[in-house]
Formats: sequence, structure tokens, C-alpha cells
Amino acid sequence: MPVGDGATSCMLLLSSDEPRLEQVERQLAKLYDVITIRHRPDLTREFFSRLSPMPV
Amino acid sequence: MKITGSNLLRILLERQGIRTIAGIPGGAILPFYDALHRSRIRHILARHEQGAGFIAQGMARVTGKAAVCLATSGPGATNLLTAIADARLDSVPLVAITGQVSQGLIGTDAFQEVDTYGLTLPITKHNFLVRDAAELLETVPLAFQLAESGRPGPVAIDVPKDVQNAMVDVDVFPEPGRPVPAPRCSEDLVEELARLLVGARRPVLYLGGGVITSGSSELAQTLAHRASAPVVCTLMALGALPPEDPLFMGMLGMHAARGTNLLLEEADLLLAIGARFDDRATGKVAEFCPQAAIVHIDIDAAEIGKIKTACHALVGDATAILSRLLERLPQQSHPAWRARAAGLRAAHQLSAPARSDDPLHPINLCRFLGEVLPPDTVVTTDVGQHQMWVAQAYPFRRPRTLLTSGGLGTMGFGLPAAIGAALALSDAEGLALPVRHRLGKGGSPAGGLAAPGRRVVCVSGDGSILMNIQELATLADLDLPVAVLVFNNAQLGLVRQQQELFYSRRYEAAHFTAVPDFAALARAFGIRGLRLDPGREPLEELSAALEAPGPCVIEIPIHEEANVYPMVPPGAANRNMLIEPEPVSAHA
Ligand SMILES: Cc1ncc(C[n+]2csc(CCOP(=O)(O)OP(=O)(O)O)c2C)c(N)n1
Repeated sequence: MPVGDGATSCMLLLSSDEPRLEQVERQLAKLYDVITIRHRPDLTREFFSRLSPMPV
Repeated sequence: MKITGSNLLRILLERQGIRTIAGIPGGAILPFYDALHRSRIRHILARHEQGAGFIAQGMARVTGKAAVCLATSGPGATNLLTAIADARLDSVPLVAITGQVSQGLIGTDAFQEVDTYGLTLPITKHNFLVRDAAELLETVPLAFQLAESGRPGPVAIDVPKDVQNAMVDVDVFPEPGRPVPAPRCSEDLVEELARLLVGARRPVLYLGGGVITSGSSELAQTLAHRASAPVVCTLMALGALPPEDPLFMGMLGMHAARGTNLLLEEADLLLAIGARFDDRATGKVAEFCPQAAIVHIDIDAAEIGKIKTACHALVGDATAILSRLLERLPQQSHPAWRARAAGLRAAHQLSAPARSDDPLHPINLCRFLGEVLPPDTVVTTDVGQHQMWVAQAYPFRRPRTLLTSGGLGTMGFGLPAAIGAALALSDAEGLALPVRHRLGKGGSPAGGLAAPGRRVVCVSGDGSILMNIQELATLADLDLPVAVLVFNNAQLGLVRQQQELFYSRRYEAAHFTAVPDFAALARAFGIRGLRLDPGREPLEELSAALEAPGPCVIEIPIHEEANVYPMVPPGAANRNMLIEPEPVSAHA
């Protein structure tokens, strides 16, 4: 989703909570175009189902 | 001022200080080649884009500065991919520029259209698809900044043909991209590191390629002596410490000297500096350094704890951290531990037959090269047994003298990387490119002065050399002092070795039926070529060939069945090393 004037955008990733996730995040965080990574445990499965026409 | 996108790109590269670019032209990049026509940038016409990529890598690995390779869209871009991925895994600063079909054609399966952006995404540090010529003003300096900052790596810039042709209004040019200094880590962290070293009884330094990249080899050596810590190096760190240093324990891991891996079993503190705990170095990770607390210094935060949990970690530039550490670390003395290391080193020397019995045994050859080549000689390798013999037995004494494909392990790296290294060295010495020699009938140079510059040696295998053999034509164009040594065992030796040791000698696709006459092949390219004869003073012939000026190819017949020992079986713990079963017989 574009943020503000569209110069930056926000991406939601639904991922399984496994030990590797921390390393995945660190590798994402070092990419030049990744500004920040935030956890959203408040977003439920239902939230993603509503976004997607396909069941998740 | 109104200029075309391609002229803007050229000017930005010139301002960046780029003097040499390696590449191959094609339709989608022709506007930029036209701009190069008026440039002081020298273009090296490779014979395959992978060759161009590795020529650029050779320049970058020798200088530490980002080098540029160039290709057209489609097949040009896909041919570059291996060299880009290789640069990524070995943290080499590279800027790969590719032409792309015009934007109106993108997505239509146009002639020579391929999604270069998509293909390079996972193998670069960052990549760009330039949508507008004015974007180049930001993109080009940023590409160099990213390639050289922090942990270096490759950056790809894909430039559609219409962007190259577009007119753009430029008033001021941006400052060239420069590496951004790494953030300083806190005093407390350095203090704690000093405290840990003071508390250690059996410390070991584990140096990786980051030590070479950061230029902290001398500091690492000083630290080793201050901390009384023996030093192990990864393949990428060879050259950080001279082998004569009493604390130097050589390469660790799969093909380490046995004493080196055994010492790591006993260490109580392992200080990793710019190393990434690669599986070739650690063996079975769970059993690596079983008694040691791990302390890790790296410029890339994502390396900390990736493979091994560190009890203490510092993120930053090794040079800065080590100099701050040395300011506060008092002299440590561990005489028993130093004696233990020296004892292990002495007890587990590499095994090789006497030189007089077997002068062309690969270990003897590498040792001989170490005696006849000056210590600042740049040696490149290909990938296979010959690469490991060089790592084990050639005495690298200076940083950036070993150029080898460590992470990706790419056969075909050695020759073009050697060309790039020789280009960088001749640039550094301010030498004009030599006029190429004409070969007389006997295959020896006739006329023309000796090609100047430091000799660069590429040690290759009969398998690897054929993967980029076409670059002999580039070498002939440039007449650089590159000597290619082909260790010919008529095998994909490392494959054969694994099949012998781990697949019950079921040899499959390891033996070559037809092996070319490499000396004749060299001559066909206009390069001096010879084949050593084991029965006729081969080492004398070798040193004479290395002393003669200009490029050459020297084919060296070696045992078909010589293996690299010791060897840790893939997946096993480093203490489980296979050693040479019986003394090698004399050369057949
Ligand atoms: C591009 C590429 N393909 C395949 C391999 C797998 N491989 C690793 S070593 C090796 C054999 C190399 O043979 P040669 O260059 O003759 O060297 P030797 O082991 O005989 O010294 C092969 C096929 C590789 N590393 N790179």
C-alpha cells in the first residue's frame, strides 16, 4: 500500500512464527529500500482473510 | 546543458573515477557504447559477459574499489549473472550496468528482453531499473555508495534504451558516490571485549574476508600477539598474516591442517572477525569449537548469531574496533597455549613426497611457486583441488594477493579475474597498456618491449580453465603479464575425489576423455604456451617461463589420482579429518 505521496509504501507479510523468522527479519532490515520492520501480532488471521479474495 | 542519458551515464562514471570498464556491446546498450567513444574510460572487450564480470571483479578485489562491467540486454545480462552472484557471496564491490529494451517494449517478450531487474534482485546488494534519464543523477552515485559501504557487494543498474537516448537537462552534477562510514559501536562493547580477552586462557582469532576488506590485517596481527592468541583464517582471509608468523595456524575447516582444527577443539574463546561461520570453515556447526565462548565482530549485523550464537558481539568496521581494542588491551601471556599451538602446527605438516622425487606433486608445485614469486604477486585460482592445494601450500604473505571464488565456488573465475587484477596493477603503476606482441614462428614473442607490470599468476585446472578459455583472446589483446598454470589431471579432480571417498569409487562424469593440448591452444590465441615435462627439469623450466615477459599458459601434468588431504567429509565435525592413506608414489 502506498503511504502518503507514494514515495514509500507499506507491505504486510503473513508469516509463520518460527525461529528462523528473526534471521529473515535481520536480512530484510539490511536491504537499502527497507525502512523499518514492525511486528503486528494484533492483525489476526481474519484481518488477512478480509483483505484477500482467496481464503488464507 | 542538454545531454543524452548515455552521455550522462558516461560523465557520472568518469566523475566516479572509473578508468576501465569490461563488457560486450549489443543492441540495447549501443547508445552508451556510442557515448564511450568520446570518453577517457578505457573499454576492455571481453569475449563472454561472464568474463567481463570477473575481469571487473579482479580489479575490485585488488583495489577494494567498485569496478564496472557492462552488458547488453537479454543474453548479455543473463551471462553476467554468475559473476554478480559470485560478487555477492564474496562481498566484492561491483557495479553491473546492463542495457534493456525500450520501456515501451518491456513486458512484450521483445527481442532480447529479459527481466534483468527480477533476475538480479536476489543476487545483488541493491538493483535499479532506471525509468527516466534524470534518475541517473541519483542512481549512479548511489550505486557506488551502496557497493562500497558497509559490507561491500554488487549493485545492478538496468538502463532501457529509450532512457539512454533521452535528452536530459543537467545544471550541476552530483558528488560521486563514496562509502559511508560504519557507525561506531559503544565504548562499553569494546571494554567488554577487552575484558573477555583478558579472562580467556586459550583464545583463538578466527579471521574472515572482512579483515581483508576493512584493511585490518596488521591490526589483527598485532592483536594476536597482544592477546597471545593463535590465528586461523578462512580461505578469504589468507594473506592477512604471513605464514612465518609463529601464531599463524593457516586455514581452518574442510581442508585445514589437522593441527588447526584440533586447536579449535581446545579453544575457550573464539574471536571471529569479519567471518561468517561458513559450513566449509565450521564443519558440523553444533560441534564447532565445543569449548569456546564465541565473540563476533562484523560490519553486517545480520551475520551476528546467523549460524552460531555469540556471547558478545560488536557491529562495526573491524579497523575501528581493533584499534580501539588495542588501546585498552594489556599484553597477555599464555605460554602453554602458544606452545600447544606451535606443537600442533609442527606435528601436522602437509604431507608431500620429497621435491626431488616428485617435483610436480601439487603441494611441491605450490611451495615452489611461493619460493620463486615475489611476495606481492597476485595469485588467482579456479575451483577444485588445485584451489585447495594453493590455499594449503602457497605462502600468501600480503592481503589481497589471493583472489579466489570462495562463496559461490565458480569454476571459470581464475583467468578473467587475473586479467582484471593485472589491469588494476598496471593502472596503479601508471603504465600505459602495452602494445601487443606478435608471435614469431616458434611461438615466442618477436618484437615489442616486454609487457611491464607485476606478474599475476592464475592457477587453474583442466576443467575450470575451459569454462572461460575464450578470455585468452582478451589477454592476447592486452598483452598483460598473466601466467596461467593449468594443473592437468585429466579429471574434474575434486569431483573424482568425492566419488572415490564418499561414493565407493563409482566414478561418474569425472574423467575427461579428450583433453586439449593447452600449450597449442594458447598459441592458437597468440599467447606463449608450453607443457612441462616431468622428466626434464620441469621446475627450472617453470621459473624460466614465469620470468619471461608477457602472458603465457603453462600446462603442468599432475597425478590423475592425487587427492587433497586432510579432508573433513561434508557434514562431519571438523575433528573427523580423513588423512592421506599412504605416502604418494613418485610421479609416473
Ligand atoms: C561452474 C561450476 N560448475 C561445477 C562446479 C562443481 N565442481 C567443483 S570442483 C569441480 C572440478 C574442477 O575440476 P578442475 O578445474 O579440473 O580442477 P581439479 O579439481 O581437477 O583441480 C567441479 C565440477 C563448480 N564449482 N563450478
